[in-house]
Amino acid sequence: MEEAAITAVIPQALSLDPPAPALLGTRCADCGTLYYPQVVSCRNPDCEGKDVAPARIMARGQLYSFTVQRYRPPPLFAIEPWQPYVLGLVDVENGLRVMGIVEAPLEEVRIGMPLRLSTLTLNAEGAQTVMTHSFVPDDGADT
Amino acid sequence: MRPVYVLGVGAHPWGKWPGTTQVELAIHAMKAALGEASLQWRDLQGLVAASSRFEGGMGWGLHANELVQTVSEHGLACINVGGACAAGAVAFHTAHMLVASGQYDTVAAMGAERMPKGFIPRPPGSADDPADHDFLRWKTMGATNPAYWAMEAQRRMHDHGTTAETFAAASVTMRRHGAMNPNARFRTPSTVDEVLASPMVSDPLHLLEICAVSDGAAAVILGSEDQARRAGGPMIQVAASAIATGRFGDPAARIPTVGSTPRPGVPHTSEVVTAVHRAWDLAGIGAEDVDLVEIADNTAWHILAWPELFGFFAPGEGDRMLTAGEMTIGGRLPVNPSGGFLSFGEATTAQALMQVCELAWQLKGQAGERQVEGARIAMSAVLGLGANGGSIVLKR
Repeated sequence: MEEAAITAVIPQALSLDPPAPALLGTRCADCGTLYYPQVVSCRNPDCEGKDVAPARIMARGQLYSFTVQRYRPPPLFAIEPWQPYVLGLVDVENGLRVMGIVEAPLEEVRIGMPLRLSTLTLNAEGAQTVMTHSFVPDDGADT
Repeated sequence: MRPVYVLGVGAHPWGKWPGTTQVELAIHAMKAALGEASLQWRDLQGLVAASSRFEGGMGWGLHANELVQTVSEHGLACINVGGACAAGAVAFHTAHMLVASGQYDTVAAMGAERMPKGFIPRPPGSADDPADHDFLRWKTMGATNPAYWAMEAQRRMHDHGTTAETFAAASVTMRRHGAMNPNARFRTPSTVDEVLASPMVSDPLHLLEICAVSDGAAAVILGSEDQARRAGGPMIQVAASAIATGRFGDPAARIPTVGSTPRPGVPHTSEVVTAVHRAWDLAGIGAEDVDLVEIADNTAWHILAWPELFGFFAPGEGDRMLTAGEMTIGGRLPVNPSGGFLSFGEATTAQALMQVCELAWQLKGQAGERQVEGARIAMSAVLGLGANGGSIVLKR
């Protein structure tokens, strides 16, 4: 792409299309289980059909737990500049719990706080901007 | 199925051994185990290897064959099994079945590992698969293993009011045990203040509350009752060996998961809980019969949480049990008299076999300063990537 471009770090896992970012997962057409990332089969042993279809997950939910990644992880995580960040587990919809970076000051992060899906710039070089998914405090407004 | 006995166990001390090859570590452990069993290499009818993840293996997870091609080409059966950090338990389980079936009289299980430095990385050669949780956790959020354990610890503080001091005290207990074990890598006791002063790695866990990675090797030789009588010494029987995998809906923050489906009523760390309870059923025992337990304490959180998950203590009771001294030698349930992963550092595939070595030494009364007096029933519990759980019960 020669034009200015904003891309997801893994385009098969995160959609940046308007009106709002969405995680790309899978829903079981038979038992309704929601999965992220995408799966080729439902893994619920009580489900016999196991037919699955793509699902867009807008992801609003509550923080289940969190930590701080204090040490720089291996270079596969191409964030520039690097500084410690909050990681959290977020209970979103349909019994799905998703992990991601929480964009909030540590002193304001608490278990149970409402969060919604957002995006975070990992790196920007020239016209190329690479985004990953993140969670931000949810003010309750429609996105 | 016939009864199976431990004929001998052996280990290479844990540490960083850049000058010793993986095969040399394995040979050291095997030689020690064969010595305890009064056997020669040529007496072994089978060798089951907990296949290394990080080195050797001729590219396909093999090292039983490498070992016999180095030490003793006598035509024995070689089996190489996976299971990541639980591979040692899977290898033990396989060796146990071989002898219990009646087809083999003398079989060894062994694991040897030399670990890369620092955070445990992606396995070499992994594909960049957008549906692979491991790829996603590194690529989209840079989550290292301690982050997962830390989120469990943070949640425990929320649910049960566990304090930073109690997590630190769990590490202190492990390092006090490890100081009495010549096979442990970290043999200097720590204080709560020292643990809390060590660098914060992933809040709320400090460096001294997280297991390091080490090089090491361990081996266990199993045999029939006739073989055990011939080897002499106390008869150590395998009361049970069980392995299991995870259950749908498990609420654990399981490495390397980035999206999970927790459901009410499903046990936390179900792969290990299922293995432990299967082992208890097979052995015909319950929590009250266990004299000591060796668990996979990747962090201080595990010391508090795992005994509760298995049913030794009520949820949240672990903190009080620890601080009252009930988890140390002489207490109600000695946890990791060996010093555990916090004193050894993890040599992934070898670790579950090191646990079995400790169970055997304890039951034989050979554990020196760290001996649990009068121990008659000892058990292990281990967790491996891929939702692998294993539990082994030995009895005297």
